[in-house]
Amino acid sequence: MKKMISVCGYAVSALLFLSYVVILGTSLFPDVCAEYRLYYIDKDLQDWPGYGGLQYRLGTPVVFRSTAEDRTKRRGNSWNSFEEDGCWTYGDHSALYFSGISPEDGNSGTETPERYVEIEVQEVREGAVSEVCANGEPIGQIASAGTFRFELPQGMPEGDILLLEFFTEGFGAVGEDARNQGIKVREIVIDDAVE
Amino acid sequence: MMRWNNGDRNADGWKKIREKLEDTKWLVFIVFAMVAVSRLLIYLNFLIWSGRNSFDGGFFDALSIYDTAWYKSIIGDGYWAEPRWGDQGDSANWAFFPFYPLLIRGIHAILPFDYDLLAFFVNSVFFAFALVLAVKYILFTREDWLHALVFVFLMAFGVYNFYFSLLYTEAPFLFFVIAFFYCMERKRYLWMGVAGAFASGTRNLGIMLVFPLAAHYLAEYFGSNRFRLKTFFGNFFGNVRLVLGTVLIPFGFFSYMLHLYFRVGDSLAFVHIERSWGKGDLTNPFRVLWNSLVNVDSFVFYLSLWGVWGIYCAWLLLCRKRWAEFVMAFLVVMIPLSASVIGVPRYLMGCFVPLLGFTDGMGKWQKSQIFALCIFSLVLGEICLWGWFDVEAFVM
Repeated sequence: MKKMISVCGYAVSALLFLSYVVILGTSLFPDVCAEYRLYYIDKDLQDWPGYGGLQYRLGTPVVFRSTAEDRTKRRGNSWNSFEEDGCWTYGDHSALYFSGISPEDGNSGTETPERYVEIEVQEVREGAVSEVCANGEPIGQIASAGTFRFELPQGMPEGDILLLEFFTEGFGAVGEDARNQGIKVREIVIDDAVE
Repeated sequence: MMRWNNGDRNADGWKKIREKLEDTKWLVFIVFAMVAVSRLLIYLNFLIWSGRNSFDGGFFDALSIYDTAWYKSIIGDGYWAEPRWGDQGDSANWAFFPFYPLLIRGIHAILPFDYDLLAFFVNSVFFAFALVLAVKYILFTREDWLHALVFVFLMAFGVYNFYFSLLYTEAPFLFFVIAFFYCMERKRYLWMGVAGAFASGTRNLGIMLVFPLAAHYLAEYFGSNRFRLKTFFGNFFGNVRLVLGTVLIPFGFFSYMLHLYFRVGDSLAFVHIERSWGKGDLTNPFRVLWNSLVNVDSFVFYLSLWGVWGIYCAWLLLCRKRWAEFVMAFLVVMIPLSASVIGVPRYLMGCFVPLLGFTDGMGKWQKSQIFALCIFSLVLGEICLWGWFDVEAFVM
């Protein structure tokens, strides 16, 4: 009887230990949405967008003005605070996240439409140049204020996330403001070209 | 000079007090009486404070601030599927471990009183039983009733004593940690494991109890053996109660992780959600402590002094070769400090071993010094209590 109790004790111990290993394993493969992963796990997002908050509907303006109630929550970590007329990038790399854009989104025809991203730039620090990339592929360059339209490569995005990145050279202080600033973005729109 | 375990206190005049403490019925009565008086003092303080500040609310309205709302959300709604609170709506109740809210919820199902009222009484009972066990532990390991009495006084009437009657986890966690150490010292390893399981289900720090157990085992082994691989592992695995007791300790912790995986999709949600409180990745605790120590104008300076005190208490335990207690005291101060100084005082007071180490050191003090400390602790406790009523940051 005593031996049987011992055996049971060891069996329970082994089972518990194995279950802990399995549970630890689940921590390596979280089953969460993109917003959760980017904000809490990878800590790549500056603002919490809420579940589904990174979903993007083509043609919707992405606003960077502090006065706008719907100012964007798609910013990665390297952006300065919102200002009345836009938001400065911070340092040499700033990112924006979009999800839910299907490569054929909005297309009712047989041909894939030309998809573009339009960036309204309020201001550029003197000497700064920002290369814009979409999911790692360069799509254009910004060196002055104005509105820029860049085509997205065919079939983008391939995964769930469209990552827009600004790789900026010549960033630094602007006037008396000592913050690392590159380009000041006012608004962004992603849409399909109308034929 | 008064010394702990002074032979004078074995004289007839003191014998009766010792006998009373060693009689469990009397011990429970004495400790419960002290806790009851200390809870009454909290209430009297509230009456004075509310009179002076024209406070409209009741006693529990004044007590129920900061994290009590989080525990109530778990008691009422369970764990949320997504974040809801906070300035950005990015906070969730996942950071708070489940045993205590589940317990209150269960008791509420039978006794449907206000949560704060229930918690006040339930936690006060936990607190009293924790102190009973603390006396038994001190008598078993230090064989000194005066040390035990001073410890109980400092806990019941000293600084942050009010935390043990709030809708917080301090009281149950304290009880389970003391129960863990008591059972471990008495070699009742199954009960030790059960206490550890409840501790790890009450607060994430509970899982760290495996390390004091490891220190206890190492001390026991090397105290009577020369190292041989066969006996080192054989003595452990040959004791089924010890094996099962050890494996039981993380049970509460991993159970919660499993629940979070099914509820949220992330078994580490209780860690990741800390971002919403502005707590980043863990960093060097000494750097955190230093940065707070040099911030003399801020309340974090006061909190950092507690960090220094915690390190000192761990040091005292190390000097006395109380290995298991030292390991726990070290972890209790270092782990919170690696994130922030906020909450360090209540973590230290709520974990039993730091104050135990400090009272060990008091054995070399004069009677007048011990008396002065008791009074100082009482006064500081009143200041902290009023700080709590005033929703001051330094008592968080």
